[in-house]
Amino acid sequence: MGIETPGGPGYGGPLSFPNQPHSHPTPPSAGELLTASLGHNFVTTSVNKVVAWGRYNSMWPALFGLACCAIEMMGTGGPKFDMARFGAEVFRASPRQADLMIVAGRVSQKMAPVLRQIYDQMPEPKWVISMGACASCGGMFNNYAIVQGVDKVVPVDVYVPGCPPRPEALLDAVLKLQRKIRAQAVAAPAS
Amino acid sequence: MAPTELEEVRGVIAARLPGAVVGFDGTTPEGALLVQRERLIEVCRLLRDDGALQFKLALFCTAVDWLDREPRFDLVYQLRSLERGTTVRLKVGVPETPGEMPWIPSTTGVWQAMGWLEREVYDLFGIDFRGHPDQRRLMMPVDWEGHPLRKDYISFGEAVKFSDRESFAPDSAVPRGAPD
Amino acid sequence: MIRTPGTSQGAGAEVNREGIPVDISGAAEPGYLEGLTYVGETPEGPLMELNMGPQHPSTHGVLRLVLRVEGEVVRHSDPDVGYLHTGFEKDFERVTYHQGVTWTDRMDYLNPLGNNLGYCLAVEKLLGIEIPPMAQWTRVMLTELTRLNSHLVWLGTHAIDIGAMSVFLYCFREREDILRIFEMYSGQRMMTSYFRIGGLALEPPPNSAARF
Repeated sequence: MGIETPGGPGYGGPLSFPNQPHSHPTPPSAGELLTASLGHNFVTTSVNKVVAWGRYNSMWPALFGLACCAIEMMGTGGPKFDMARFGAEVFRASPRQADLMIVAGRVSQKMAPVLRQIYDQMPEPKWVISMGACASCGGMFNNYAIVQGVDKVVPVDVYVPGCPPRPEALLDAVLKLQRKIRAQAVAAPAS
Repeated sequence: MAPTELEEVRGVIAARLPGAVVGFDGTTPEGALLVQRERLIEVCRLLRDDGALQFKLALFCTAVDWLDREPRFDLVYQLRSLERGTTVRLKVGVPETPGEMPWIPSTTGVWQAMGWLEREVYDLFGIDFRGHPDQRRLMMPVDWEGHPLRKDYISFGEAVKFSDRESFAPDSAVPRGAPD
Repeated sequence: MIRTPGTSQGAGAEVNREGIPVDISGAAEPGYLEGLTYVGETPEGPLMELNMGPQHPSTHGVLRLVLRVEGEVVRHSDPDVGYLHTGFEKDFERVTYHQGVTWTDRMDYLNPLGNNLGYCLAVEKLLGIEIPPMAQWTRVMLTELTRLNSHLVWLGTHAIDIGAMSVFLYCFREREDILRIFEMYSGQRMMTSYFRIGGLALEPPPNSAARF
């Protein structure tokens, strides 16, 4: 085109610099005129995508650290594997203010009704990450005292294996959940 | 605790309460004194109050379920004397009688710390501590049935099958004790 | 709106603590305010029974306390435990002594190597075996590091309870260095099961002293 643009030759095209005089073989359309006059100051998207973006980028976990996995969950919130950069740093003690429940640790038979009650107290939308082997399937405790998987009590979105899972694994679970929320927004436009 | 000190303790008890200590259990390096169930409280009071012994700290109380032995249960008490820096272990045999729970007098009156330790044994083994001020379940839910640490309580889990081969499966697939 | 002791349902003549009549006809069903029950009077004021349930930021793990408080002062507390009862003892009955080491990691999960050490020492005492000196020294070093780990968690969480969040971050930053050492020795950050009956699980990695 003869127009030297910064950023390399791969950038831009006929409409990369608005309000620049250039020649068209065909008359410009309304959209092109709009883009030319206003530049790249507008983003178009759908409401679902924006809502989902807001939701998954600010998932607030409810404090539900039970046992050893809770220590690795705290480590994930620590400085090295910072969970705050994904928006999930604010651990709320009250389930009313949380939307993500990371069940971190083994759930005993006595604790199961409490788990269900906390889950019920969380407002919609809510998600559950089952962190660790004990939460996912009872782990190494195949006995009378431990509920063999929290999916017997609450519905689970993402399972994280490990005993305890590395902080990177938990971050991977959070990111997977983010992708899941994004995919659900695209797939279910009515919700 | 060296056997000589255990012999010393046994000697003191034998002098004051003849016949209370019925034997010596040497299966472990520390050794234990076997005490009769009916004389347990007297022995405990002596161990706590005697000027030479002063076992004022109750470390733990636990039980062993020998399923096919008579008496079935062994109650084990471990006591410590902070003044002397020694530890002593007592073992009491508790038989199982049909129609009632196996029982033993509660040592909560002697050492208050035994309160919760005995509650744990009651919960997990089903041994009735007579005279306990507050005997109720400690670890399991209040409406749990059964006493999990007994040898005939089958610890149910899930029969876990990995891909194409059967893995560890407990004997009974039916949960015991869990209320529906 | 607070239900005072001795009130009846829907009487319409309820009074709050200041003695001002309040209308509870629109309140939820009985039992709604169960967590806030006045159970008695002390000379200084009414006694409230409060459930500090198993899920609470300060209990660090699960502990249920039924408290009787008078204002901010706790007059009586009745702990209710068992929310993390795991059944370790029952599991130990079905595994060998050697396999049991992995269970000990999870008992006090802030101090996994320390639990390993206690268990291994007990079994070695029963067997009457002696450990090679290098294993003993390595055990001591790693146990002390685990103790450091545990105390860092205590300090961090205690600070975050009273509001100082930066201390929590500093402590966990130090923890990461120690966890890297554990990973270097055993391949696992936390539940290492590195001490076994008779010594260690693996030979310490070459040049470990310098990397330490």
